[in-house]
Amino acid sequence: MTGYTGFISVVGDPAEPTIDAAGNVVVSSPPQRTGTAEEAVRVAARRNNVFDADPAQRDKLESWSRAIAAQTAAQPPQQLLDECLKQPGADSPGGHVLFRGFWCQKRTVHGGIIVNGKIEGEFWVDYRAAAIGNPFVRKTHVFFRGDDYRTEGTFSGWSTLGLKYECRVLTVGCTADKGFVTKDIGDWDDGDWVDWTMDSDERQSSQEPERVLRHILGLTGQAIDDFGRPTVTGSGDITGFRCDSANYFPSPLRCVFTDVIPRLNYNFGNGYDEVVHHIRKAQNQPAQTYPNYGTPKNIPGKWASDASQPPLTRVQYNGEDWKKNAAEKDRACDKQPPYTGPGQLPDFDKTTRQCDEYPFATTQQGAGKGDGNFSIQDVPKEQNGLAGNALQWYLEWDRILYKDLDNYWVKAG
Amino acid sequence: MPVMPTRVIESHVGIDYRHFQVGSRGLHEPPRFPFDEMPSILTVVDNAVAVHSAVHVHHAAAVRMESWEIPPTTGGPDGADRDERQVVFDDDADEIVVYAQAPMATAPETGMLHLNAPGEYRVRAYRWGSNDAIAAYAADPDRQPDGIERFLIQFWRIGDITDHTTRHPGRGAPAEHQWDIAIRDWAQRQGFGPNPPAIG
Repeated sequence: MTGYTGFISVVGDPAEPTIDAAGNVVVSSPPQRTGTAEEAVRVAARRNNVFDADPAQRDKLESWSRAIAAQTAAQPPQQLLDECLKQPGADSPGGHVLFRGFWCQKRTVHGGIIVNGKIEGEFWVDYRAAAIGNPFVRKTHVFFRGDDYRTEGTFSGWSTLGLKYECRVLTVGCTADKGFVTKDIGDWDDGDWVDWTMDSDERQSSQEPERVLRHILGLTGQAIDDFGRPTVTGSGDITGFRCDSANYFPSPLRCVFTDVIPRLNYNFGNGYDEVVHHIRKAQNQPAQTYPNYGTPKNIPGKWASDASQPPLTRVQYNGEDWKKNAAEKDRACDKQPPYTGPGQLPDFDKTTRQCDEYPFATTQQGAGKGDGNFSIQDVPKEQNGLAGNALQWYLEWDRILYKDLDNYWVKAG
Repeated sequence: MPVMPTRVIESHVGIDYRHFQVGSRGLHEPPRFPFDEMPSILTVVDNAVAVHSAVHVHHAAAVRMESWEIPPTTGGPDGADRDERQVVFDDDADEIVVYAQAPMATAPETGMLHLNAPGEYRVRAYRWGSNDAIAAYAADPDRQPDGIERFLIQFWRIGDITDHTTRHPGRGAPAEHQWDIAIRDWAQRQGFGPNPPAIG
């Protein structure tokens, strides 16, 4: 069969066919991603994928958690899916990353057959999709469900459509458990979830010791119209994910989605308001913080709606950087040399208050870096303990890897 | 014949945020201590204990943990600070196993101390040497005063968990963490799950 061409894409994607000046249908190739960590941050910022917890919603989230735990069917957790799909980016080409553990999308697969530059037949399948980064193994589970369909011309409900999720661009070590799932177009809206599992083989990673592999998830499809004419295989990049074997987490294997800004939200009202005030001051009025050198400071880690501010990077507890940070902070807090001149932290009651530092001791940007870009402030010891607890949780929750494998930012207040 | 603890472990443990943590092996996520009281030494939540230092700089404390069958008949030296609380250990295993680590440490800094069956426990703590550690730092700020502040932590079981057991669940997890907990629950329902932690 010759003399025709076909296309398949997702409605609204950059690769969606367009009509040129002569009235001909033009099919372009989708732009490809590189899959780097820096690209993921840029993509996340563009898509506004930043999780901002509202403490007032805690009760609702806890009830969701119980409901999700009660689900046994192999389908994405309904409450997370509902919450994710109502986010503004869920109907965008990249979908929405709710947080590093969950991604979703609500779009339309579109395909057609073109003869002499004109479309002879088309179909549309509306769908919702979700993916979960497995918290215990190097697997990512992707779910797809058709919601509705339409056909025109040479396509009907009896035409066939095959779809699959696969790793794209960065395919080393990544395999899917199955390929195309093919159904009549009219059967894609039957309400059943179809799922694929992506495996990430740590043996294929040359990075040590976390054995990180970065991947790009893509949706690929091919359809055949009622005259037996297949479309070309069309696909698009959707979202990035990363799998690692970092043994410094309670679960040493995990996959997470990377198109989301890793951000620690230190909100007021959680029992550590003075710590929040301290970090705000360090980020916004650094020159006014202790030690006060009388000259400007540039304290990193503030998320300012894009990645323009330098991030924080994590270091190992009790490692070389951590020890330097701890020692320097102790010197500054205790007014030991060289912190003996004017502009030092005033004396405080050490039985009821503790010396808080920002950036944290667990960062490469801490006091021990030696550039003076840090802040110390006394805060109530119970508040410091709670804030430390929150940091401990965050680093695990967002699975922040050491050093340049991961960046994160801090929102204070 | 003197009555002795049934098991003992000793190690240096890092002090960060001016405390270290004793956690049960059944704890799968960081404990969320309330910290809204001003404890002399101990803050408890179910399956974990925070042990507070009296030294304001980073250091490693010398920690001895003991498991007893009866209320301990020995203790810390005269003049040591002392505190005692009740804590619930309700691990699924037949035997409770605890360890100690600094809050930001990613692995236990001690060996595993085997206690008794799950149930209600008393925990008693002695702390001494704190002033010596402060003085050591003042004399040489370039050297972390490790091993000078000392702790003795003693555990003994007092009974089963009942409807009348006083629990200390800790502070609720932040909102966003509930979602991750939900994902973990989901994965376990699908047949994935953590391997049992190795016993040291």
